[in-house]
Amino acid sequence: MGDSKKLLEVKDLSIYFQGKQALDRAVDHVSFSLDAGQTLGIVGESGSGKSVTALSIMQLLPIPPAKIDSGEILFEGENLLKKNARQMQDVRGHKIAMIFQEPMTALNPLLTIGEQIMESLMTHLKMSKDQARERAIEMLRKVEIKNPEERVDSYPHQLSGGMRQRVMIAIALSCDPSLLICDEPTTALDVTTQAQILDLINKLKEDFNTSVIMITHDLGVVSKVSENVLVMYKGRVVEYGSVEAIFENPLHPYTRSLLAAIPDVSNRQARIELVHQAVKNDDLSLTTGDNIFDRATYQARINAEESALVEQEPGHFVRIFKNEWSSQAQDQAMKAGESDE
Amino acid sequence: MEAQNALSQEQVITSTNFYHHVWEKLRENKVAIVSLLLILLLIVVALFAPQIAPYDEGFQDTAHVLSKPTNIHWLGTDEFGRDIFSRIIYGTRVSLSVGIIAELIAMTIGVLMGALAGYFGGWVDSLISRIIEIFGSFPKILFAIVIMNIIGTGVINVFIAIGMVGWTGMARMIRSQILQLKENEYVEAAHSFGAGNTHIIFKHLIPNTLSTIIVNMTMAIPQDIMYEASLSFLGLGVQPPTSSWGQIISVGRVYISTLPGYVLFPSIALVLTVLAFNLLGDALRDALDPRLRRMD
Repeated sequence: MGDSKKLLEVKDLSIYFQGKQALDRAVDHVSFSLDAGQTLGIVGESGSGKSVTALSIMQLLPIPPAKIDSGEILFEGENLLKKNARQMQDVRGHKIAMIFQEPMTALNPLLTIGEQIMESLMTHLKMSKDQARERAIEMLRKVEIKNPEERVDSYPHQLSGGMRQRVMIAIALSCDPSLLICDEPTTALDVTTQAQILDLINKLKEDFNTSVIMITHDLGVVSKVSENVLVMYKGRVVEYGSVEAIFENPLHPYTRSLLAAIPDVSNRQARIELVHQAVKNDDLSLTTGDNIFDRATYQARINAEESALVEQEPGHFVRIFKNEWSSQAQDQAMKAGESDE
Repeated sequence: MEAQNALSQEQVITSTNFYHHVWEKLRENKVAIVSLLLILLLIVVALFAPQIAPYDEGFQDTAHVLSKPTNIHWLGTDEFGRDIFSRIIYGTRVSLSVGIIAELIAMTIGVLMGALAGYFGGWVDSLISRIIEIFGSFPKILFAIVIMNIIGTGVINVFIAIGMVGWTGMARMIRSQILQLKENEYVEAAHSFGAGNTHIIFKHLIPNTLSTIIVNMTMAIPQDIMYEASLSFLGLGVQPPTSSWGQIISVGRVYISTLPGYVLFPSIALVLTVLAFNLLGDALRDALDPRLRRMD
């Protein structure tokens, strides 16, 4: 786990939110890592902690109420959590960039898109106005916006949602970051635009040799862009492995129910399986001592049992209960021993 | 040909911006246009006062002291034989410059304080909000009088005094708007691209409060003009021989029974100016408010 080629390593990250009465657990001992040039998909339902994890990497969480309780975030070998505000400003946008969910509101309505691309170029790369403008046009061309020379002077309201998201990608990649975090980049777009944006991200990832963290609740998106998948549930990692492993051999019941909930277009009559009962806010409370489980089938087992991530096949980890672990291990002919990751 | 025209028309419409709509809306409002014309006229009068006024503001026609309106002195003369019409025209300079410069000072302080309070919140917000409340707990004119007493009389000091008491309303408005604006995703996006606080405040937040600033300034200018007139009336503002409407009214009130025009004419000038700015401010507020915009 400690190789030098790891671009990003999140180790044992726990984040709490100070609520009115109790501490709300948003991210609970999450660890993962990302190699240079790789794409990691983080999936989970609303409230599973995926966006909080992403924001903590950028250190954009409002502190307080958020509180990072434990862990470290190593980026290119440096712990981001130890950096001060000014040092983080140099990382943000320069080394790590982010694309947001809502392209309609993520651009300032009063500035032309060119000005907004030029901003970070002038801040981070100390470019002159003319250089930055040239680079902005080049970036617009890279994200396949037609007539970039004219479009550079457009205001956000003159662009469609898909084009705005392209502009966001252009801003994010303009300083050639080593890591791009996409927080549900396609959720607000219609299906055809979604596919185009994903293709674009895939293509530019290669061109810029950028690692990508793709946060989404859409497993279709994950299968399209990621090499590895992290499934989160109630702030914890429940399953981690390659896309193939997760999609072909999902081990955790929650992952299985997520996969079962993908609508099957070929069978119009089939009912979509439900992922029962969404996360309630009070479920996140520390005092309940909850554990990870599929809500529908294994409801009764949600109690204070201990659980751990276990490597069930090489590179494929799943969270199971301690007391269940030995029997399952026999069933599955476990190769590796218990591991934290 | 027809179709082409229609198409280019449409393009023109889609490429118009927010302030174009505001101007269109404002143009429909007759009161606003009259006010605007009046203000433009006042600006011209102020700029070309020496060319327009028949006499110099200090010129004393000793042969005609306290004369009623005549052919040579259209609005009469004062106790030194100075032409009241000329003095009112010169007084336009003081009133307008106070309105504009003092309001610029007030606006700068108000926007900065409001932005800091709204953006940083916490103790910064508490401190600035308390200062605003302290200012609000006394009549502003009282504060202005105190400041004028400390720094002395004169036009420049009038600017400073009015600027220093006039910023709180603006600060309050900007603070609440920044509170709202800073939750926008583009602010978070700017953070994520490594922008600093100063950059976000000045490049992203304050420009988005421009409508508020414009309306607030237009509404505050007549107030400032009234403050100047009051200070000069009390003898604390502009000093003779420079003429100011407040000061003319102050001296002229002695002669109100014998020479009513002495007080009346500068008062009319003051009222018209204040009214013009107020009406324009009202119209601007309506035009800039997207909720009041007609759905067409």
